[in-house]
Amino acid sequence: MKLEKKILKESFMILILASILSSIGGIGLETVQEKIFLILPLLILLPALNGMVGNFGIIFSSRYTTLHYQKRLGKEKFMNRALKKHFILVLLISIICAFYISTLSFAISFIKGFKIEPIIYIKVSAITILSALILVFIVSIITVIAGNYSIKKKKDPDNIIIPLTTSIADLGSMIIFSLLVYLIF
Amino acid sequence: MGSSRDFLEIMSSQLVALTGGVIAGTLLAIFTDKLFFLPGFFILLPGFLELKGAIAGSMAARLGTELHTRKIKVSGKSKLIAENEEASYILILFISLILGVFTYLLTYFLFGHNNPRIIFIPLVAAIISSILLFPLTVKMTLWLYKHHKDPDNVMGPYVTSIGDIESIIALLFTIAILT
Repeated sequence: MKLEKKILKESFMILILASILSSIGGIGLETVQEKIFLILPLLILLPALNGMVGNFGIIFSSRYTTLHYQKRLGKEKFMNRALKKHFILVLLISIICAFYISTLSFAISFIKGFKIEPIIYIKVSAITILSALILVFIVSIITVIAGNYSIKKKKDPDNIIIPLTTSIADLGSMIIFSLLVYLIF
Repeated sequence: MGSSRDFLEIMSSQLVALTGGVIAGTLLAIFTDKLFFLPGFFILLPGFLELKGAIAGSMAARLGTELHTRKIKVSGKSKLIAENEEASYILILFISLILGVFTYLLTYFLFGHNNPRIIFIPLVAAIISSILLFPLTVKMTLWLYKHHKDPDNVMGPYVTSIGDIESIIALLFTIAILT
């Protein structure tokens, strides 16, 4: 019961904030919804893009908290060697993954009868890769700042930084995605 | 050695997760006719997907930490695991209702659509999808740790992938019932 109360107390407000932030990101999508329905690969890759940066947030945050509880985090530098190495790894994987979801969503759209044009493929891939790179960078910085803060306040960083980073990732990816769709298509 | 293991674990789990995300997107593409006429759906969608990922992701991360620090064991039932699950159910119910109200207000004030049914869509969809997602998250985390995989690297993507597909199916099902 003690743990349950602790989880509810620490997670409730941050999850409300997280879902509100994500919904605000959804306003951008609602604005460009006609273009999303028209260009099928955009609709197909949407949940994957939405989840992708959040996944990297969870992976980076989980490593951060594990390093903290194993007392391997260090206090001198913003990111110590172990954390920096993990950050570069996540950044590299994000590029490969962004390219993968663009290509896969185009292949499925083609099967569904969508006419494939190379320029649209390049534009969609560029949007996805750029969104991923920018957001992994932002999410990693926020993880360290929010993690250090929650440790200082003697709270479990698992309950704070994961909802925070995933919602910032969602908000950011949807805003950047909507903005680029609006500008390019 | 650790880096290449991390790379393989993260990359493989991400590929699974992203494929799951694209499958979820394909489901959306199949039912565009239903979604096009539901004002506020795109406001609701990121928040709902985020909620499932954040709650199940946090639970997996907590279990991962508790396994790494030997507070729980992979075999047998634990009070800590049960409390983790209960807290996740309570959180998803309350916050999906708040999400529904917030979506309704945004849709009404920003786009002028008065659709009160959208308040109940995330709540019903959350109940449907959580029944499977949370127990599965616990079982997968324990199973991975038991088989010498680091849940920190793997569980986040798996949770969001399964959560995305489940959530979209639950949302489409709920929309079909309530609209």
